[in-house]
Amino acid sequence: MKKVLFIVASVCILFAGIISHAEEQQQTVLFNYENGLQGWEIPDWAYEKPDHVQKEISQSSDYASEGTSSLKIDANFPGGRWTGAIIEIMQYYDWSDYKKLACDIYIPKDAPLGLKAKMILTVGDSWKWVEMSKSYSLVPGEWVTVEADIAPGSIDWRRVQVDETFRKDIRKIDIRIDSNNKPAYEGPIYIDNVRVIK
Amino acid sequence: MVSFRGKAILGLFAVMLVASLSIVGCGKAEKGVAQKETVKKETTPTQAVSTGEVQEQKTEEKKELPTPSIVPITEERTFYDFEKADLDGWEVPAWSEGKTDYVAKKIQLSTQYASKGNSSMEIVTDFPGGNWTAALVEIQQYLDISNYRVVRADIYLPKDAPLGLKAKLILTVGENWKFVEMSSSVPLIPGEWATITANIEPGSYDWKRIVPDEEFARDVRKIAIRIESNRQPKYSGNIYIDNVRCGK
Repeated sequence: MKKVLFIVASVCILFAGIISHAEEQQQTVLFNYENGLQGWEIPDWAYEKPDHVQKEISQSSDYASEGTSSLKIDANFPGGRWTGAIIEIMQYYDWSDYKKLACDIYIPKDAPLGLKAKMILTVGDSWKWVEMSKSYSLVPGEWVTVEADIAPGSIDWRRVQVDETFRKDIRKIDIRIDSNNKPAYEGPIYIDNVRVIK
Repeated sequence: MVSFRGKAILGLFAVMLVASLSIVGCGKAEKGVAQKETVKKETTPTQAVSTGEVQEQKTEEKKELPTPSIVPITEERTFYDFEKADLDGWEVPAWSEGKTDYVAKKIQLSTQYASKGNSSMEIVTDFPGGNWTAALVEIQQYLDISNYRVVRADIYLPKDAPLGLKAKLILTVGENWKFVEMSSSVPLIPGEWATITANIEPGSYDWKRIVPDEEFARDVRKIAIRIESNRQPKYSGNIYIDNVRCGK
């Protein structure tokens, strides 16, 4: 009887391992912030704009959607007007083998409702700034996954016809959290697990 | 060689010639040309104006919007099928919260009914009757749907719901975030899926207070669906939306 149980358990563990490996192969984590900021920064131009309210970024072990650390943005949204907190990384990518881009964003439990987030790509020779066509509402105390389709025909990007060349020449990734008149919020925002999915 | 008498005759002849010419009006003739030119100059702007009018008419003719095609829709693309783990950005707008005439309490995914796939968006509503009230859900997303001819959505009202509820699509378009409702509503029949269809082609008469031009569908910023009770019926229950799509 013990032998049978042992064999059944072994088979289960083997299958679980295979399934988990298959899932891992479906996505590539680009940034997990386990070893620092990995090149992410606040763009210089954003420091000069009064409507951009990110103060500083750092690696943090307060919260993480994967692993033990994430990227923390300290921001101060005053409310009453549109303001955004933005971070970016400049890096060339060819994501022809992938269909989606995603990241996880967390705001603490005591943060207000109303903040929204989107990703922005800079693509192609003309360094075209392409925002997502919609924003994701952030939920206090929960990790929210912001996800966008990058495959040809996608409607997830604004003012661009997404074709095969779109995902072939990515030059920058930006993540922006917005407050459109409201809410007012001063505190941290956490970003983790920036990834591309097949 | 010519005698004095001859010279006098020649002189007299010359004087008479000049006098006769002046009487005939040779001097005025040049003036006349000038006048003609003046007239020409006067008429030229007139002609220009009339030419301009013609051009304007032509432009107006050009500005005339084409009639939407009556060819059947043969290709559709579903933008929102509510099959994912979340509502894909659909929400009860914050501006409608606290307004007594807006009665959508919350929205969520449901596997109770679906016109496509296995799930749909369920709106929990409470229409009190007696006043105009509406349940409105929307998604804010920048879309260029100018390659399509229609926008469509399927709406289901459970069997036990009353007759009388109506639904329409509303688009928010362009830089000014113009709120554009359909010019007519579609009656919902309990126990059946109803499809709302609105033509977005230039010249369409499906929209209230606006006839779409070429730019209309190029810059859509929100899609909303509004279910209305105009004083009646009274209904407290769920309404289901699925398969929001465009067709051409």
